[in-house]
Amino acid sequence: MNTLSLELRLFLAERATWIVLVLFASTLAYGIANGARMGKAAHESAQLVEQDRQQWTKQVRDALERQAIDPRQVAARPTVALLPPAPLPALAIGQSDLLPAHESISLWRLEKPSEGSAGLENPARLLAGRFDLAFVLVWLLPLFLLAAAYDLCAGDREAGTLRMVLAQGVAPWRWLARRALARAAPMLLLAAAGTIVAGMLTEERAVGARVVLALGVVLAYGLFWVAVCALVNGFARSAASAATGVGAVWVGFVLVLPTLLNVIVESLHPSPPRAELVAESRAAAVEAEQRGNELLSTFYRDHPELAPASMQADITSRMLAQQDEVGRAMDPVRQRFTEAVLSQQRVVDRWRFASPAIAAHEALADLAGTGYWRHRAFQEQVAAFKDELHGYYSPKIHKQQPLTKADGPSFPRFEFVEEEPGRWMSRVATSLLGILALAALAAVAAGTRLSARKLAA
Amino acid sequence: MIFTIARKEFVDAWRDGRFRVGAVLVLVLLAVSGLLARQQVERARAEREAATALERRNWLEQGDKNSHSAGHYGLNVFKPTSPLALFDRGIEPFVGTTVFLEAHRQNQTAFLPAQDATSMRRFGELSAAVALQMLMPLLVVLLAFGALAGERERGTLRQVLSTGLSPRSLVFGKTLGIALTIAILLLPAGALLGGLLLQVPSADAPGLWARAGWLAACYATYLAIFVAGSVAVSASTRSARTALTILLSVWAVNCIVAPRLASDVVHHFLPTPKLAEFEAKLAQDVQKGLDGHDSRSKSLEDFTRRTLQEHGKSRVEELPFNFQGLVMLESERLAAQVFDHHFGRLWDRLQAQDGAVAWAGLAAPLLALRSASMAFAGTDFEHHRHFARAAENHRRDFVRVLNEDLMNNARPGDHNYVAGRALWEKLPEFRLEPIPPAGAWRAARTEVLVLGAWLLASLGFLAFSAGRIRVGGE
Amino acid sequence: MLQAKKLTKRFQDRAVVDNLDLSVEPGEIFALLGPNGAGKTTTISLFLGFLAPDSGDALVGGTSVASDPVAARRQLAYIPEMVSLYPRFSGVENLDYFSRLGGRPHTRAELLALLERAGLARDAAERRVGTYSKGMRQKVGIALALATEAKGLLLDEPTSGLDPAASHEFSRMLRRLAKDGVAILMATHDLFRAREDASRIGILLNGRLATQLTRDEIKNKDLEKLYLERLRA
Repeated sequence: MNTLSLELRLFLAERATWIVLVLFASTLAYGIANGARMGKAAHESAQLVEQDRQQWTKQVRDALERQAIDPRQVAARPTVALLPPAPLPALAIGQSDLLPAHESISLWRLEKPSEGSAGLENPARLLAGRFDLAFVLVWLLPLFLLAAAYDLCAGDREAGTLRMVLAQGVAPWRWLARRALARAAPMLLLAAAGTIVAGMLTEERAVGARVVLALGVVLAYGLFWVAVCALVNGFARSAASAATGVGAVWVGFVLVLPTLLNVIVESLHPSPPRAELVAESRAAAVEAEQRGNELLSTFYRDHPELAPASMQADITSRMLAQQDEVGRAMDPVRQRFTEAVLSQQRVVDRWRFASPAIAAHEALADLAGTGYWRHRAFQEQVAAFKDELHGYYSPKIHKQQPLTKADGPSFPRFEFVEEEPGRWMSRVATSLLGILALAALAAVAAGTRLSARKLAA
Repeated sequence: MIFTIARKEFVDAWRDGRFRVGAVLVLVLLAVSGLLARQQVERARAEREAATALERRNWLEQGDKNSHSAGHYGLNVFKPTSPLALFDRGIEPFVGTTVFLEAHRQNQTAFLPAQDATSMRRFGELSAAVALQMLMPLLVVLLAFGALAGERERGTLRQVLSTGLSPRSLVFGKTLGIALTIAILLLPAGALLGGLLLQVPSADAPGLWARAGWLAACYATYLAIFVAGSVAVSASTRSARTALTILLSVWAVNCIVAPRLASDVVHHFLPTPKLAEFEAKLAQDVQKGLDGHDSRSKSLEDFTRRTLQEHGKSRVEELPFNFQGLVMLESERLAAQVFDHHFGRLWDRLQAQDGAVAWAGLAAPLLALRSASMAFAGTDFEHHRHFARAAENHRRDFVRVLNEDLMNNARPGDHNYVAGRALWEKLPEFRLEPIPPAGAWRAARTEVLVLGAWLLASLGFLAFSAGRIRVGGE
Repeated sequence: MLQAKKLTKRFQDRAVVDNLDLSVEPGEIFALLGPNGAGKTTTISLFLGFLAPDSGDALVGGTSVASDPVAARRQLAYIPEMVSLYPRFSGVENLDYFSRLGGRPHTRAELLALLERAGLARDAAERRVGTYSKGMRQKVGIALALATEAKGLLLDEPTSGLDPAASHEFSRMLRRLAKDGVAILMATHDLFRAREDASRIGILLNGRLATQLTRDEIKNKDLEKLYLERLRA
């Protein structure tokens, strides 16, 4: 331990070290602030939506006190499905700048594919990405670590002093590990502190498990890069060589592999054809409309329980029936579409271990609650809610049954059901283990290279 | 003399195993990304054509109905992909590909491809543009960091200067040598991309090649900035290691940090309006106009009175045309003014943001290059706005045709008028005229200026450091 | 050919070269002896124009080095203690490059002939320099002096690290060059070699020439005893 603290002191004695540490701390702070700000804005807008909804519900209930209401009046106003604000927004902005956090659902437009964007965001901004904590941890932390630790013994090798050190009888592996850890420790401590601060900047209460897992991911990821430094130093014959080597590894894992994977995945599992979905659904609508009245009487023949007392064809009833027909016709197209999306994500899930950067990024977004899976769950629940809405109002409209006070409590309301902790925990834990495995691999490879004989050669 | 040095640098580079590996990797990545991007462009084009054909059929076969109802039935148009998207996909994943054209509303483009994509997509896509913007500068740094500093450390600098070579010649010769190495490396890549471009059908072939020429010039300037700057740094630092550290830090700030940071700063000072507010204000202003469907509105009463006065009649049924049609026309006209105002301001704001980021290129040249690259490739917001505008004009045209038909062909007071396929066929298909290269140049003026300024600055730095070169080793 | 006139160079208040007066005529081999830090390497750097003198002047063929260093260098050849060459190129390629820079291009055949004259066999000359020994590198340096037809040759510790055979060969080459009329200034510790090859010897102490001896005088003196005496003084 003595030599470890010596290494640490030597490292901290350099002015350059402090510049690097201060720079890193600033980027951490900036990233956290950005995420926290997005989180606050999300909270505010969620509150507005919730207030709005409660107001409307109250209005309806009050109205029902006085008289029965035509269900079409209530159904005319779109219901808002709200995705509650993310539990740890300061950790990662994830997909929350791109995907909408609430959706307006109208009974008359159930078959229209949801098209809402998250806002009027500048597409170039979406392209550039956000400077959040996840960006600092996944892209910048390795750069700072590499800046601190790229020259573990390569410079000594170049200067010839490595042989002198080895001649003292020190075990190279232990010596280098101490040096690497001493140089990495301040950076990793800052990163950990940043993660904890991000964990505190939330309105959510029960985030302990998330923060602990995030710490695990950050430390595992940091260890991976330390191992890479050690491995490169086993080969590099000069400081400049070492710098080039670690730089190349960073570029490979953080820049090239994820972006390359994206184009390959796009090629093998192409994006779902949105245009096709849109055009097909309109074709189905045209057909349904043309069959018009005939459709309605067929519908009532098939669903006698829904036939209204007076048997008078009503515009709204006809619309609903047409919508049903469109829905039926669109089922196979929608299936294809959903399958394409799911297959893309399955590929990502499998390939995220190709690069620790991908695994770490996915894990952090997952923990923050702004990742792909949570939004996916939201979309699925919205689809289910549409069915629920339809199942509630449609029969009443067909049968021309008014809403009464007794119906009050049973109005369909969208309540988002969060994923079971077990599921996201196991996803993140798998990513974490994957990163640790890669780190272990690099460390073992480094160990085989860092023998006195090989280093002195 | 300079050419002798340049030639030696070139040969030396290719004999360096590390450079060979790096060069081959970059070339492979350029080739792979180019080929896959072309596949993507092809697929998008096929999809769009199929969907457009289907929509056209939907429109023609919608059956007989009131011509105004056809306006509500509406039409979807799909955004065409620029052929140069195979080089730089730009903002395509983040803008809507579809616009729904209907009466009374100007809709936003919808269905961002990125929303249908996986979360890994946020890492970005490896396109030829990205490889040239981020990876080529690294190769340049690899070649150049030791150009002078390394020679000084190894002692060959003394040896070379002792032959009576002027230091300036040495520095310029090395710069030229590195530039030639990079240029020759890019020749096969350029040939491949050019070949791929030939295979993609384009609405404006000569314009396309002009744009490609501009792209080549911008990227050449960007890489030249890195070559000159890196050699200048190498001439000015004490050791090769310092030069490498400085150059890699500059690269990281330019390529990794600057895009996100600039975006943040610009949007802090020039924020985008919130969707809810925008839609609310838009709806409010539209309502102040003329709502053809709301028979109780006051403005409708006023308009009715005015029209009756104008034609000297006392009842709408006496008018020589269908009044409902006229109301719709007027309503659309007023609404169009509101849309132009609001969408115009929104789009102006978005373009102001983009312009600010281009100016931020004075701090980091990548920002200017990215912007210019997207502009010339046809994948920037200017081109998207062009599509949105064209779609909106198409909408106004077809809604006007429908409303005029209602006004002139429906008997006054007739509520059961229906039109049929004959009318639907009157609507021409949506065709987007591509922006000519001059338009792209206008959009990218600032960026090209900024790149030019950077080039001058780096060449100046190079000349300055060439004069102050230290021999070292005392 | 090589002349130093009251040449002075200071580093932080210490005069490393102090009012040095020195001249080397064509065909002469001047051995500059002295302990470490005496100013030998600095003197050579001053002649090459890599350092600017604080006062006084260094002249090469009548040209003041300070006013036109490039022209001065054109007339010189320089062989440092470790001849630095480009490792990924062969001996011939290195010679080609340097001689072109010196303004004297040669054909490949001529270059190989020059290298042979300097003592480097053809197959060695075509190998990459990364594998060369010190002696081989020196031969490339000498070939370069021949190729550029330099009038003056500056040597810094030429024989340190050479085995006796290589050292002997080097002396032979040096004498041939002197016979061809090259003025040679050689900074060295090697008293034995200095005695064998030099036509004049100077002992540099604290930046000044403490002693100058001609060839005849050298033959008659015990050089080592004289050298150590001067040092103690």
